[in-house]
Amino acid sequence: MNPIAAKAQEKKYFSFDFQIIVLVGVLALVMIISAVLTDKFFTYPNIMNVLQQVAMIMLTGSAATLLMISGNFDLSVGMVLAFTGVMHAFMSKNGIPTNVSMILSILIGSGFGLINGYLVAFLKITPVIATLGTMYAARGLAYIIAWVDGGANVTTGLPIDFEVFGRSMVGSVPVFLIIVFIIIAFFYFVYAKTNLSKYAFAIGGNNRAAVLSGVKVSMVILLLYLFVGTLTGFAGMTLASRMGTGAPNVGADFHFDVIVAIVLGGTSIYGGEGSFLGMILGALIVGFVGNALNLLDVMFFYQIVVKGLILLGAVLLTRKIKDTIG
Amino acid sequence: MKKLLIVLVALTMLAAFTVPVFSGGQGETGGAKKDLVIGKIPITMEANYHQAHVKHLISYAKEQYGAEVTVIDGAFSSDVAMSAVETFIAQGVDGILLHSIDEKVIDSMVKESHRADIPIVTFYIPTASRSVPHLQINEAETSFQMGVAAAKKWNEWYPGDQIYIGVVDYLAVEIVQKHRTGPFIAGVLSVDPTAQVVSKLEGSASVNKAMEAMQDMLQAHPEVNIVYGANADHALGALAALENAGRGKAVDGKCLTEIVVGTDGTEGELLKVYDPTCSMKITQGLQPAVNAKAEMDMLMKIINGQTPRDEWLELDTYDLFISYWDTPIEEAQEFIEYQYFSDVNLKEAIASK
Repeated sequence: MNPIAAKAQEKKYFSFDFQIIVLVGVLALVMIISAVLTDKFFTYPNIMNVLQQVAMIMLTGSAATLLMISGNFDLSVGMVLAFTGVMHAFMSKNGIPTNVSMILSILIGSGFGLINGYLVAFLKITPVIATLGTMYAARGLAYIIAWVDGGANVTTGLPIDFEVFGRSMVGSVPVFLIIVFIIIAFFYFVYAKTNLSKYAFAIGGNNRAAVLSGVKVSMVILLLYLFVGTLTGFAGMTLASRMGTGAPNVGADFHFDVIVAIVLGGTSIYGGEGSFLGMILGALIVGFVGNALNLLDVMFFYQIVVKGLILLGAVLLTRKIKDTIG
Repeated sequence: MKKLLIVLVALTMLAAFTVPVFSGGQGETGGAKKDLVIGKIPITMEANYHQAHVKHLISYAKEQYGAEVTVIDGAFSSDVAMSAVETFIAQGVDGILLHSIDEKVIDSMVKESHRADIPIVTFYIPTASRSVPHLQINEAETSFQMGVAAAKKWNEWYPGDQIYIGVVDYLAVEIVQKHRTGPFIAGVLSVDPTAQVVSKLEGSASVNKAMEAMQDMLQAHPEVNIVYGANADHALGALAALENAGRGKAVDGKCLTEIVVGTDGTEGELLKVYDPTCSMKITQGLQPAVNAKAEMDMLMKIINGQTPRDEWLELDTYDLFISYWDTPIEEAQEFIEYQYFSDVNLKEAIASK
């Protein structure tokens, strides 16, 4: 490799390693301050609660990070989350065995992923517009299904085993959390070791160069959207099972939470660079901050401000690190 | 070709603006009597209650007055509601029924409507200036009653136990504080002045946000033993969190670790209220049929000249107090069938669990 390119790559990796260290430091600081301010913070049930709350963000973020690295993103995840949950409840209620309904819900998420991917990769519609469109469609469909069912949620007449997946435990660890972390680990492998990840970076870094290098850009983007949709479908199905209801009004801020976690973790919204571990740490930081504020009974409106400040702070910090090292 | 296209577009736009001027229906031209058209703006169509309210309104308006009702969802947003009012004005409706979130903005909407000579009745949230007839659900009384019932039951089961109240709330909606949360807490305190409010967290009208809020509340305040949800989603979300934490249980209607209290009286809530193994035991049933008829009657009195359109007049309706111990399940069954068009059989559904 040309020495200049090697140095540039070394600098890039150093920049990200340093960023991860900074994020770990921020997370540690948040946790220490929270532990000092309230003795309810550092308890096993509380930590487990936060992990459950951010699990869905990390799950969707696992695929959405690579998507954003490729220069694309998906605004429909919140509404797809709601729709797949509603469909899981609706199908279970109407005679489809619960385990079959779980798989079908995930596939519905995959369907949305395929549609998004096709719109962006093949019809060349801007990701914002394409996924806004599917976001509205998913939202409307969620309400329609609930309305067809007879109300605003799909709550009544659900089979007894509807809540089993979302509420089963292995010892003191929820089963769904174990499965979510296995999936996240798998996607870390995809990020760290596979060509798909390299292609995502290449496309995000320089789309034209990627095309000229022989990367099947459209297929890669389609695949990434498919993964995002599939994981979101899983998240929606799991959430409905945990809540014991299919509710169209969930997930209103979910896309924002996912984007915050990804951006906080150092992924550029323009593509070409990003960090999977950063996304995990970003999600944990946001989750623990929200948790601490709730434990301290800080009014909700301040929490919204804090979230916005965290996002801005993350972007400024990322830029500062790059300027210092780059 | 380009010039032709521009000319075509310009002609189309010109036609769109001028055709209505020359078409019929701008004034009274005689002929058949026009059906009344009423514009309805619910605060949201995303909740059971409002869907049922609109359904009752449409059928009642048709049966009683031969009136058509057009609905535009207010989407929990003042500017969406304002646009809806403007749309109805443009459509020349005969009256508007408005449920929106901000008193001052409602004043502006009323002014616009009156300027167009269209009467307007407000529901649940009045004008800041108190300038038009208004239908109010007096939830304060039932909320107070629920607080009293919860506190009495807890003291009966666990005499001497300190009461700790946790609320999953609508923190930004003043009228909910005034009509629901505040009176509920006052009801508890009227029975037990030593009761403490340990936490009020935002539920954001979402089951999963309510669940997450309750999870955090349980960490900060595991001692909480009366949980109030300011709507059905809040109560059910809170209950889900409690159940996930191994709580939320009752034995033959006696709650083990807390009493959960809801608001709305939806099917989902009533299934929990009447489940003897569940700690959700009290709610207040909003009555969409009663409210829809009352607001339509109020508007028609204005249209017919019996009531002035620009004077304050408040008419109250009431929610139904529902508790596991005091309200027979048959009454609750009748309630959801009539008010919410439900086909759920509460007894069978509970027995099958």
